[in-house]
Amino acid sequence: MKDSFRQSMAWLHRWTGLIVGWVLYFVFMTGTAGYFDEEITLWMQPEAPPVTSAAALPAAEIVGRAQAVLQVRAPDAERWSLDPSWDRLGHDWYISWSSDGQAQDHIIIDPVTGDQRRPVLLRETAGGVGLYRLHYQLHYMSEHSAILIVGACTMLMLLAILSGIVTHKKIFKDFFTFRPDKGQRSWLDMHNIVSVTALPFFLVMTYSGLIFFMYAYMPAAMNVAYGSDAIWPNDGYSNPLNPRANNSFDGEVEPGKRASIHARAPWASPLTDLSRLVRVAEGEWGQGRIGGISIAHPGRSDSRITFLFMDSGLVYNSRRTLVFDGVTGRNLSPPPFRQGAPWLVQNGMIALHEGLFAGPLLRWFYFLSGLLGCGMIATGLILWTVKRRQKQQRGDGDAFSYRLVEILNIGTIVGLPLGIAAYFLANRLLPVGLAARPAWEYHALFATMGAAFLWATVRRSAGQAWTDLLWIAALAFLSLPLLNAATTNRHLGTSILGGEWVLASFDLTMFAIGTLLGVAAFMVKRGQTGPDLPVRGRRMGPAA
Amino acid sequence: MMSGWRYRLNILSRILAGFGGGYVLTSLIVTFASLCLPGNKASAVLMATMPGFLIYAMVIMAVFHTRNLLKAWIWIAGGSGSLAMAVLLFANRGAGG
Repeated sequence: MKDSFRQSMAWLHRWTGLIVGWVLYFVFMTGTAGYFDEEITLWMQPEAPPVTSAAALPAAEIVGRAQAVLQVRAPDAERWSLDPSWDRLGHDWYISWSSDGQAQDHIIIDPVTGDQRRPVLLRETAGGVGLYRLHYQLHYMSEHSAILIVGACTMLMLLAILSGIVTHKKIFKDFFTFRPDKGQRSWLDMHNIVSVTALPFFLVMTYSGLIFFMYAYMPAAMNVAYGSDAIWPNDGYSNPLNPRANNSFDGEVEPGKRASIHARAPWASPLTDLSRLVRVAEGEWGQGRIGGISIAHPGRSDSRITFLFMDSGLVYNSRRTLVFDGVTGRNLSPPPFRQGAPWLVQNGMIALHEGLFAGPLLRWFYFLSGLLGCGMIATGLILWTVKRRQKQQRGDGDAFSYRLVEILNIGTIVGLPLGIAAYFLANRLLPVGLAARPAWEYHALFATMGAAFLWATVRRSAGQAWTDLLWIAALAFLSLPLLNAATTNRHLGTSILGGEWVLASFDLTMFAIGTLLGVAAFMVKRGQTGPDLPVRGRRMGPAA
Repeated sequence: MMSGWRYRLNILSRILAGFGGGYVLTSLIVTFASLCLPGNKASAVLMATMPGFLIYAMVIMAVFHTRNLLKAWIWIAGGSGSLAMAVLLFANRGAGG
């Protein structure tokens, strides 16, 4: 359509980027927050016991104590389950027992003291997980529609990234070019710098995001192989293209059938020492890699003990379960299986997307890369209006589209962070006993975003709307640590002194975000790099 | 340079060819590949589908780049048609054997 490859790709980049920019900004920002989901949840439940950095007892010791408790409290249960938390922050052990498939009771063991934890009443909150879920489930709609919308936008994002790369003839020269205070050119330079910095991150995130829900986006081959009317027992999680179902469709080695059950009726027979088996499992997997222990028929001759590997994505183990005889402790584990290459690739991409394996430092890199993604999308969207501003001011060009993009830009780029601040503020301000509290936290987020859209619409000057909302957002984030201090005793004064770094980091990050937003407001006000400031003396209303 | 409604029609045609036709073509490429790949069924389906989004993106980019839009339509329709036949033959052979 256009003369050169570069020009046609620039066209594609511009329009695909514009159409999906707002949704993707939402997806990137909520997903970025998701890398700190547990940390955010901890802040949103100030009643939770402090996270201590004290060393936990050895797993064998905890399991030994649990076995002693279970032998007194549940000697006749059909199944015992000993499950350490898979969370990054808490490592409580959840000990439960059941009969006839019905859960009966549970206790929680504190891994530091080894004692039972008294239950604490936590406030209801959507928490950090609630923010993380928004990035693929959106809100106020069915999960399936959300997945399709996010998928279509992600596909366009992949197109925007690929066409953006080929648009640049001198990608590295551009990368080292920044011309400040030059209006459109500064925005272009900024867009280039931000985009190139974390380009591999954006590519991996985009592509692995598509891989996650491949069964919904590109099911043709699956449908031909298995029939398009195949009904999977747990749709979405158990089909051949879903990463969660990896093992069940890796046909190369079928998980071995359980050793045949005794023909004779089982008789009473004491359970073997579980803590010894814990040491065997740790010898196989390393410490802290036991993801759960399940004991079938404790105290019977046919008892079986199954250890589950704690999978954190990149750590691959060919033995995911270890099985022992419950009386003799003999190792009955199935032979290790080799996962096929396609599954390894898929697992690897999913692991990179989720970043479950990341320690604190790498997690911050994930977070900052995610913020760069938001910056890439925001600068791209702003660039669209900046490029057309002069044309608008001369009075030609489509005034309605221009104004629409402007309002959507302001309402999303500033409105979303403002909404997230409202989500946190609501957590502290809503009555603790309020019914459906998590739902109201979401309402606070979206109502605030809606108000930002409204404000951008009624304010006649876009430049004014930018500064107003940036200031409000700055104040909202700066007020969070203060409100926290006013409503709880887990504020900066106590968290820093008490060494509760997760809570302190949350408050300090809110301060930092508030400060950055304030600086942005100041810069827009100064008018030199402001995205949409009108030329002096001229207003840009809807009818401009 | 085209202008007015001719330009818009041209864009609409590219969107239909790239996004609509491209999706059909990609699905058929992926399906055909899954039937040709070695290994068990699950492995072949997974291996063939994973690069699908890259193929789709390249088809769309080609459609938006080409000067000869009619040729692009012919390629997409022809490619989809022959792949669909191949998939049908393969599937029937599989069912028969």
